[in-house]
Amino acid sequence: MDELLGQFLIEGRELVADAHGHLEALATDPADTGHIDGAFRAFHTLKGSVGLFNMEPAGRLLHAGEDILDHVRSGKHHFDRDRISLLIKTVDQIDRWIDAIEQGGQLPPDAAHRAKFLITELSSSAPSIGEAPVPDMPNATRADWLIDLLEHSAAIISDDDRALVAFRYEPDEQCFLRGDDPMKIVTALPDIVALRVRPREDWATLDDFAPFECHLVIEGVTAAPANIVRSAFVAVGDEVKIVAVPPRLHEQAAVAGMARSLRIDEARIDTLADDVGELVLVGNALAHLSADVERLDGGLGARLRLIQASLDRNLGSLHRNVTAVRMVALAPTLRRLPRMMREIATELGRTVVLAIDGENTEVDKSIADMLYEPLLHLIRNAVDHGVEAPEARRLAGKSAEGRIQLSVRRDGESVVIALSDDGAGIDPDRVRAAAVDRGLIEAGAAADMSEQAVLHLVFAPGFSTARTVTSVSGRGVGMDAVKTAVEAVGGAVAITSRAGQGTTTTLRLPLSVITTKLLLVRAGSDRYGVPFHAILETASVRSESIQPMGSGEVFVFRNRTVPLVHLATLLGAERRFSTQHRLLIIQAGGDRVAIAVDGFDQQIEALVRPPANLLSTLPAIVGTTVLGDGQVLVVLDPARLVA
Amino acid sequence: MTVAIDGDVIRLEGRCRVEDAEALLAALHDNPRRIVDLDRCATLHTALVQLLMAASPRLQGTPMDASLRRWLLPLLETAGGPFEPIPVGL
Repeated sequence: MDELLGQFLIEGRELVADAHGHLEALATDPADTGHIDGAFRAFHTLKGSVGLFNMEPAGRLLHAGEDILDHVRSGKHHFDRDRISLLIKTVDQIDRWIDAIEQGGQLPPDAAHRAKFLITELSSSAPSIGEAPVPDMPNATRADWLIDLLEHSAAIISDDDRALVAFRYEPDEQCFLRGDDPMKIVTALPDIVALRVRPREDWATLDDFAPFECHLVIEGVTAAPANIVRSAFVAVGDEVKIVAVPPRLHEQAAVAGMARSLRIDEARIDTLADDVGELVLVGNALAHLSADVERLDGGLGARLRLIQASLDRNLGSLHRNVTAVRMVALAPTLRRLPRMMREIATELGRTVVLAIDGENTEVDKSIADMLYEPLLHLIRNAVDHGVEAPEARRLAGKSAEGRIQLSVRRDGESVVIALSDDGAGIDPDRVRAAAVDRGLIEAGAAADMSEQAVLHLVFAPGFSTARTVTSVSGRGVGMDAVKTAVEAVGGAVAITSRAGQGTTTTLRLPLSVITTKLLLVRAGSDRYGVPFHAILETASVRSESIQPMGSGEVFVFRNRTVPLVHLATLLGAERRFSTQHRLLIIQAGGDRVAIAVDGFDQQIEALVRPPANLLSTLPAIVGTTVLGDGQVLVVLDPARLVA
Repeated sequence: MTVAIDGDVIRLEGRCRVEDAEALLAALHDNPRRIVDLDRCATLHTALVQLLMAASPRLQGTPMDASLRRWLLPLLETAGGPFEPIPVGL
């Protein structure tokens, strides 16, 4: 993709989200000048950005929106809900057009017509708004020095609500010889708020110090008017830059944060991550080797071990840093969901608000990338099957407006994403009947299933209980696709529901995907790896507390009866008998299951490769990894193993 | 004499001009542990300001001139960071 276009797709969507944020805040408090300014800036910058591409109708539409905001800003108009929702519609339209540009490189054929329609609506809401030409160039990017200066002096200037002017004076090296005294010029300025005086390069040692050359860069912020500042610097004009400080400094600081970050091609990070993963394997192998050497030659072994330990520390730090580089906030992924939800809700005649919290939780980039589609499916489902139509809600004593809550939080090595609605909930009997109807399970089996297990049938391929097929959902795809996508990255789904109160779907995903934290377990004489994020907890129980039930065994754990299976039996190995059972408690199909193993070994951080050849036909195998001693370890997916 | 050496102390006195930079550099170079005394300093040319920044000697005293006092000490204390001049009248 064209680099400029790629950049636009990212930044354009950020601006769309930014505009949305401000407009939504204005819907609550239409007089908040900070949000009015913020929305205006977002519209203005977007207009500049779309001007670079073949998006002329978008430019015109944004111009009309910007005009409204400008008039509100200057007090010519005031805001009401209609105007705000028109502006939200405008931003939604721009967002759709950005999607179109990404997919086909151009706006849809009806773009000019749609723009005209919306502009008419906007102008009828504010009579003086008309069409106007779009400027050719986007607004100039702000100078880096200014952003840096404002960010660093934020603590000093943030309380100052006067109009501020910033300057950067880079005196010529030879200026002393001309008779200039730069600090004298600067300190003569009236109303200085902050100064920063730094060497142009690192200081030379006193041996090399040239006392008659000027080595300084002097920057400052003053409350004096720009013309006074300009006249103070008139003698050295070409060495000085003078800029009015934009209002709303704290937002400038946010801009500064973005300006100083670096966008890197994902493929490069992936390569780096792969290399680090391989290095971790080499490090593990070296640890084993040094242990071998130490047995043969204690002195040599000890020296080798020292080196190995230092390598190990550095590898650990490298691994943490590369993992951190790949971590991104979920916010950009979640940004488009509110608009999609509004569209779905409008189509279905529902009124729903979507609240998102924890969107700044960071996850691995690949997790963030795969999440959009599953979350969209879940939201569709929540709007379509969860939230009732307004009149039904009123009858049930609820507010007409449904509420969907998307919460993201970190939990140890996992990130947990929960989507809750306050709708009708899932009726287990209907799910049972539908599953039997579609031949997913036998009627007898359905009757025996726990309510939790029944709810999990909604994730079965081919399951759908929608009474009417809508264009939104109800075609029997969705929940199984969510499950497949989440499991493909090593995650798990769960669902809970209460009749009349709503449904919560929870996705538990690994935080990092470069290496996986594994617990080594023994089954008979073999060792296997189990990913940490697949284990709810481990436990140790005496064999007396295990009861036979039917053809299997159960035990009571945290006041719940949990079925127990033996890993060795599942894998067809010889089981060892002991008086103490070591258990992995896992979640499988909505229920907790305990897997008894013959022992726990150490925990390792490993690069798990997808299974190859024969192994790839076995669903319970996640992949393999190479241990330090060169042994290949099979990594299991416990939930699939007991399924 | 605007750069006066008094044992381990370098005194900056009166109006310190650009040409004094060489003497101050020599004094600090000879003995980097020397303390710079600002008590009798009235004005300080940028050439000396940057030298004090580069050498960062120990300082004592405060400049006699109020307008110099406002910015010189905060500048030297923050060592390249942003600072707020001391308000007039203090």
